[in-house]
Amino acid sequence: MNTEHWLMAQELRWRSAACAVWIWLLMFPVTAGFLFTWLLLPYNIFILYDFFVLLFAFRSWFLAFCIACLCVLYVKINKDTYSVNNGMKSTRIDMLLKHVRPKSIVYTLSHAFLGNCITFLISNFVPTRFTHISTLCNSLPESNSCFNESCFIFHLFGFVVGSVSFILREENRESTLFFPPVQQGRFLSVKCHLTNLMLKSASVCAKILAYFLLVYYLVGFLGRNFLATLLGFPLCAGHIISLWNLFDLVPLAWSLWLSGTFVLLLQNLTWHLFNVYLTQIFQFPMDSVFPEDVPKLLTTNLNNSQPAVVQHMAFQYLSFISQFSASKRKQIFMLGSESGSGKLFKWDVIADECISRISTLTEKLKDYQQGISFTGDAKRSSSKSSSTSSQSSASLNSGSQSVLSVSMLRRRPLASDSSRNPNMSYFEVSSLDTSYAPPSQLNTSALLNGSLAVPTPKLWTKQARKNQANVSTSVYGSSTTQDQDDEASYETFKGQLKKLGARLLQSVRGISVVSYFITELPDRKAGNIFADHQIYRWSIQSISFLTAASITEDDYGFVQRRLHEVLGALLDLLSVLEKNCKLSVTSSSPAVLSLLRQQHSLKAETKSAIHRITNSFARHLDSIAVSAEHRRRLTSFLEQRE
Amino acid sequence: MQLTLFPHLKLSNDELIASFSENSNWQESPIRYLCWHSHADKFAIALKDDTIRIHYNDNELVPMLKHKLQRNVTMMSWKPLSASTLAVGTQTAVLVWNIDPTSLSTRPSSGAVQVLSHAGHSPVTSIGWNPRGLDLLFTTSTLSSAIVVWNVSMKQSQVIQHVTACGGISRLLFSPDGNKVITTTPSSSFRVFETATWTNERWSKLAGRVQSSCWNPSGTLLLFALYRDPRIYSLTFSDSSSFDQPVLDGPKHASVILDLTPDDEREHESSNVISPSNIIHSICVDPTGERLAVMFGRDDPRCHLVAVYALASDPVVSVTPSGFIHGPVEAIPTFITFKPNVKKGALLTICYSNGHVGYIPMYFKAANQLNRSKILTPLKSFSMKDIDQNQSMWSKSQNNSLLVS
Repeated sequence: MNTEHWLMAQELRWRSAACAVWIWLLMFPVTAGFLFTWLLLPYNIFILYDFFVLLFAFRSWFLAFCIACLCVLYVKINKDTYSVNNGMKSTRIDMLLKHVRPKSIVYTLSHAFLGNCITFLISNFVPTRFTHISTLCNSLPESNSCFNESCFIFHLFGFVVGSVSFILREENRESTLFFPPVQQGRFLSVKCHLTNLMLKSASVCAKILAYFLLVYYLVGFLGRNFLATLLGFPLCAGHIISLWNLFDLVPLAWSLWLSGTFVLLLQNLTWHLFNVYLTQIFQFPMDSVFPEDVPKLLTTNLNNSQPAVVQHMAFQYLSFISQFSASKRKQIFMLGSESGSGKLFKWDVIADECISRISTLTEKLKDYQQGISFTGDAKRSSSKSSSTSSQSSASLNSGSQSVLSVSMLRRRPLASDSSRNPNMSYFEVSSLDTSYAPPSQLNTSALLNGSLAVPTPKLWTKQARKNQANVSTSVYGSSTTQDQDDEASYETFKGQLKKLGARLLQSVRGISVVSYFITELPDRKAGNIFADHQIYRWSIQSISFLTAASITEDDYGFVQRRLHEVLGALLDLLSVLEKNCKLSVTSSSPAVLSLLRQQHSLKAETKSAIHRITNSFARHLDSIAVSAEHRRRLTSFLEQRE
Repeated sequence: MQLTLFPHLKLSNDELIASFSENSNWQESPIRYLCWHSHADKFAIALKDDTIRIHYNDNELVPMLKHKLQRNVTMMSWKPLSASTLAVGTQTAVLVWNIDPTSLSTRPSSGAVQVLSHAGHSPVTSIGWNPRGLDLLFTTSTLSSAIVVWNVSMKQSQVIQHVTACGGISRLLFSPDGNKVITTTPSSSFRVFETATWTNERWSKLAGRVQSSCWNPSGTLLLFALYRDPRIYSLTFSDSSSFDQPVLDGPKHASVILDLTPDDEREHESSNVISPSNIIHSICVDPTGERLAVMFGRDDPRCHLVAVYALASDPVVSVTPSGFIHGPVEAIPTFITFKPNVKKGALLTICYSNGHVGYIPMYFKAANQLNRSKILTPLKSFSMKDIDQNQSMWSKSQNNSLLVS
């Protein structure tokens, strides 16, 4: 049974509804502003008069009402598509598949449809050449009306802007909630960001417009002809988008740019307000006497098993109270009745969660760094082996003795003796590093002519399997039944099939085109480590603020029991982050670069956190049992040398 | 219209910075700004030649910071809870230097600096780090109404407030506890924000713009002086630590706690008349909240002195004169600041017009220490005589003073 989390069912739903109301109200002044710009034409000297006429027309209010309702649909789509995790697909095939999933296609088409609807409504504010699909025709004397290509382009552009902007937002992770460092009020936030949102919408629209005009110039006639035939209108002679028709093209481009900017502004504004609403601090209860309220407690919602957005909100609140609220901190340092996880001390639950998040990041970074060093070693080894193989082939060609040294081969266990495995090598073949000595090299007769006789390994022969079966029979000396033998053969066969599959996959991966799509991109892989950077940051902040405050506020000394753990986790994280910051990973994607920059931010945060604790406890930290390396770092923090 | 309302918009960049600087002679003084580190015994000093030098207590090495964008340094601030990060407000942008305290290099490379620039936000006249040590830097400009917050490592800026109809924001100052921040403007109003949700309260109809302001350590007392006004005003706030989040509940009216009108003028003029020249240029409270230092304006007859007062805020705000500090002969104090993190008493640092830096130690036992140790006998505050002794200490400790030429 998949029930919705209480926070999402109650609070987030309410916030989305409030956001929808707000955006509905906001759309009227925004639309009025757009209308004024729409009337800005060089030959229109009665712009103010026209604007006020429009403002008091019922038609305008009705159209603005429709636009406001469409924006509410944007809120609904945002609610369905938002995420809090900044992780990205790390292979090219995943990146492509992400956009062709049914869900993505549905939302892309929804955005396209909404874009189209908005441009349709815009075109109806003032009767222009974009209003009707048919127009009076001058070039065709036999027909009164013909297909209005301007109207077609206008609506098509709305469709394109809607769909492309959604894909771009997904690609740039702009539909991920951004928790601002400073919380702002709704009106203030819109006021402070409106200019930026307008500029951003205009610049994105200009880029889309440039590509749109180019593509329409090349293949636009297909769509135009199709729709004209469908609607039964004859086509006018000539093309609107043409180099010979610049006088018509410039006003068209201006109108397209304005309408596209308006569509994007509505999208961005809706998302901005949605983000403001959803990232507002939610005040989780710290304690309750009612057992049914346990799932609502802060300590319960910090858990990894909760939905990601709930975890984010819980950690955000924890960070907030650990900074600002002495009374809430006091509750954390007190003995609780029930903290949600069966533990009596809230501090223990909070410390467990924060330390586990910090440790998770440390482990991830360590694994990544080990992977990097392993890959680096492998690369060095492969380059070394290539030089070795070239050397060996040269020596083989010259008829010299084998260059294969004994040290490269490991002695096989005595249990598998050569007398019982005549076809097997004296040495365990699996231990042969293929990068040092490829099988083709081992099978050369030159090796056999040398002083060291290494029989050719025949691991895949039927005889070998038989011998293996004989060996097992002779070793155990039991009466094996036919069924057991068949089962063993089946298992072996299954194992071989698996190996074959693995080999096949490896060989497919070896094909350059396939590997291009399925190879993990190093920058995205490195960036994905910091996908949950907000939670890591809040964990670091919360644990350090609470620890620092404990020196004066923790009456029972709960925090001091785990001070070494806190310091150890933070110092470990700092050392791996310092190593990671030295690795040079670059990327062309702004979203990936933003994630990669998080490591510097987290490093600064960790340093500040350690300083916060060392400044509070000062020389009292000397009595804490930590490792020698940690002691050295702590001393340098105490001496303000970090 | 705007130029008439806000005359500072007509000023050149240099004049603008000079008129709102904490330095009383910013354009001519060899030292433009001095900033102590909050925990380590080191300070950064910005000089007229646009270089910044870092002086350590235990190291002869003096790193020099120089950058092509580092012109007309307006303000500097060490990042709290960091040993090496220094933010510098300049005419064009904010520069964030990372000076490794263990490095032996005297010229940190350009890789050690980060340039933060926000369109339409220059000259950066005031900067302030988040006092809780978060990686957030707040900046304001006298020509912009926006308060910009920088996530420094991410190089991301966010406009968090617009203080409109004031012609810009001349200064932003956090309370030491980090719960409140005052933003002063070139007009006759200022605002105090609480830092949790950034709601604000506005005080207007002042006799002039706020010339200088300072907080007491607990953030419950705000002192400010107005341009061409000889009085120091106070606003008392409640202690935010007793609430779930910071709150603003300042009084409607500020009260005068000190009147520095010269005696001869007091006889002739009524107290409401605004002086033709600036009287109080800068005020600062020491980190214990027990001493208040006042530096006079350049045109005031007492400009060669720094006045020191004993300050008490509990149960009522009271100011007791402690004396005046005379500097070297023919030198005028241009900049004053207290050193944070002094074990006993306070250390006032004064930069003089001749390039000298003087350190004035003040030994006293803080009231909170007294309360803690249950000492009931009141400690005698410094008298003029005590200050004179300190002054002689200053002259004795000439070796400790720094001469910047």
